[in-house]
Amino acid sequence: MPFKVIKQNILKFNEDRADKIRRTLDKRGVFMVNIISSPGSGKTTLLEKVTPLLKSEEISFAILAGDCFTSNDAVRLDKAGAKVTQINTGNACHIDAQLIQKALKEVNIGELDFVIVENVGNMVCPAEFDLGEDCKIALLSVPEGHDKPLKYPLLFKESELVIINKLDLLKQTDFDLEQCEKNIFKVNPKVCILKMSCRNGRGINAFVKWIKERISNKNKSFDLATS
Amino acid sequence: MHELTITKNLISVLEKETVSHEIGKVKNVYLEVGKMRYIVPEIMNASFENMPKCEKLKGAKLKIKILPIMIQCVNCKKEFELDEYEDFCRSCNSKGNTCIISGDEFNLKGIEW
Repeated sequence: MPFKVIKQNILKFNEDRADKIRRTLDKRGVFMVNIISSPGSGKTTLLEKVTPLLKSEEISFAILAGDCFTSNDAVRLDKAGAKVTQINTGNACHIDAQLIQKALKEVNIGELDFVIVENVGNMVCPAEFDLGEDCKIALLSVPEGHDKPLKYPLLFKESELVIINKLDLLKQTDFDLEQCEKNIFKVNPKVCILKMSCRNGRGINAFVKWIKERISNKNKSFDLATS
Repeated sequence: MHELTITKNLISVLEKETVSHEIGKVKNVYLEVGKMRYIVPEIMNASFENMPKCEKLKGAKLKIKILPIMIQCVNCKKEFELDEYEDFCRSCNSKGNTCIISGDEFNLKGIEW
């Protein structure tokens, strides 16, 4: 039988689009993160808590909130005072670069310092799709168990920051915090870990500080590139 | 579930690659996918079968080869096959100093017609 050698990445179309997004954001010095976690781990609550703090720091930001069908999260974030664009993925369990391209057209990126993508709740599929972000953030909550980093290594390997949320529930569960950190470092020894409880506020300020530093680093490289 | 979107991407690539008159009705599509990509071949096959595609691709079969997770230590150059990924060298104990040599592929290798 005749054979044709192709040798191409199956996700090339997505990756080409993601590169385009990255170049657009780099040109304007906009920092973008892609937050990935299981459903119910606290992504939206975290963003609700962070919104007023970012506003008081005069950081101009937009949230692109992914959800299969509803706009529940976008409504919550809108109430909290954030600029939100809803991305409904329908049957898809993740956001891809094409959806981000579309959503970015609805926000004026020239006015922004920062874009937050709240991905669809899922630890497997979203990790596969590059969205053109500067970095991925993995969010893991105490009730999910400390073995998650080993079960979903791709997400934890690709993330620059891991947030362990719902620490207020430590006493009610068998979650082993030390073992969890060991598991995270096993797949990604260089990652930064932030311990958090959106309920009692622990770690929220540290997260805002991390965001501010990353925005300022991006601005610096942007200034260097344009000067 | 991501098999659906991945298959859609695959069909777009294949439709471009099979435009040439020399290529007839495709029988087999060869893929190499790393273990870390969590692909379930059965779901990928079913997605491919049921998704709309050009005439040349109808009836084609996916031949999916799952590649093992292999890392190489940058420090001591030793290679290891792993069941669960870790960025750690079992030989010289260095951490965060390995590179993946297999296990994260998502490649279309070729087609047979």
